[in-house]
Amino acid sequence: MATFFSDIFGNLMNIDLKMVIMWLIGGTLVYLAIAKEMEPSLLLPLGFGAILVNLPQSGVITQGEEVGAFDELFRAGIANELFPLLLFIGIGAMIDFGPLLTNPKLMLFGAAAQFGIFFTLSMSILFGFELKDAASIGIIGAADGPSSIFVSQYLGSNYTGAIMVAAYSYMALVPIVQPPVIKLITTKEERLIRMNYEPHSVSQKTKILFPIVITVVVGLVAPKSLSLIGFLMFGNLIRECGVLNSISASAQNELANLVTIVLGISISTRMQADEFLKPETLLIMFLGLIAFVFDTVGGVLFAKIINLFLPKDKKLNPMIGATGISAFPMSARVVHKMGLEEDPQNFLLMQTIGVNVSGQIASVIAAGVLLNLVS
Amino acid sequence: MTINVNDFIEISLPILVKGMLGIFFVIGIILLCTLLLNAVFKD
Repeated sequence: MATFFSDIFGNLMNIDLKMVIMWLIGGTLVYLAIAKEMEPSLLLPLGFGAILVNLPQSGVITQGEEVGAFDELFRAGIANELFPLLLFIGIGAMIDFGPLLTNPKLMLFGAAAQFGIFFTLSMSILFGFELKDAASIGIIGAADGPSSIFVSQYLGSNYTGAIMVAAYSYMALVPIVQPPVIKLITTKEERLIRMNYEPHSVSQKTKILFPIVITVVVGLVAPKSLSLIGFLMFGNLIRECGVLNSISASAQNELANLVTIVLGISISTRMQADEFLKPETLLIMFLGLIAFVFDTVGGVLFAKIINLFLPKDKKLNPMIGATGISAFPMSARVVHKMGLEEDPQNFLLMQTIGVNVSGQIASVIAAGVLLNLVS
Repeated sequence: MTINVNDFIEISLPILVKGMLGIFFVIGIILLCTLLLNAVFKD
């Protein structure tokens, strides 16, 4: 009888406190995904995966000679950066660059709002992280999960799990993080500035050539961005070419959904208790917040600087600078709503969408520039 | 945890400056190409 109980329940003796803490963290992520709808497509598989990999003698991770399914998925799709790149095809197919092509100058705000990446890298170095880890933490400021995974894997960071949790958590918290920062660094008068939207039609040829030209230009100038920007723009070309509508729909739905499912559970292999429960994880969560805050600061301050050179009737509402982060379309909606709260007749949506889309391009370029500088 | 002021000044500040300049440089080229595309292929 004793042998029977030992055979059936023996594994219970392998439970330790760290595992229980990770179950609670995993459970919290699942709760936030379901009850608060915080990035549910990523936080739910990540949270559930965190519970699975922290069960004693877990069969989903490699135990001795026996290769676990999650480890195999990680090796097949994350270690070689394949899953984030495939996801970029889906994201590219979802993006309409129309508002940006109508007013291309908005791209500059996307560039400015990447400031948080490099500021956070600097802070991470100050706190004693190695350069490869500091760069991987900094890229949380790209506000773009696939870019974060790509960079942290490319550089071989030891903190991929914590970086992913931070990146996706703060992307979901954009409506909470950005408004107070924007209010802190803008005046009431600035927030009330109205911006005229002058719609221009963009030709189909421009929409088709844009992803091709961008890919070639970025590939020549920042070759380490090429796989990121190439997959993103390939997805967009499928969307805009007009002859692959069913493939475009598949990329936006089936491909993106399938990759998202395996991405989350694959990343959870990096949430094993011994690897995740370190003081550095808390520091990375704090630095992730710094990244989002200084992205917002960078974009808004850039708009304020531009305003110094513009005539009074052409001034920009500096809040639009904050939408230069890649969290699309959440950031655009947040700032549009803030504009309406200040003045119910102030419609900033088209400008914020344009800047937000530019943030998606700029964040990928920032990742490539970062890899060029660091690796 | 250590506070690493020397590395902050010698390593990260140059990366910050070069990184931001690099992004603006690449985005600037993309902006010019886009303006060119819009000018050539008007609807």
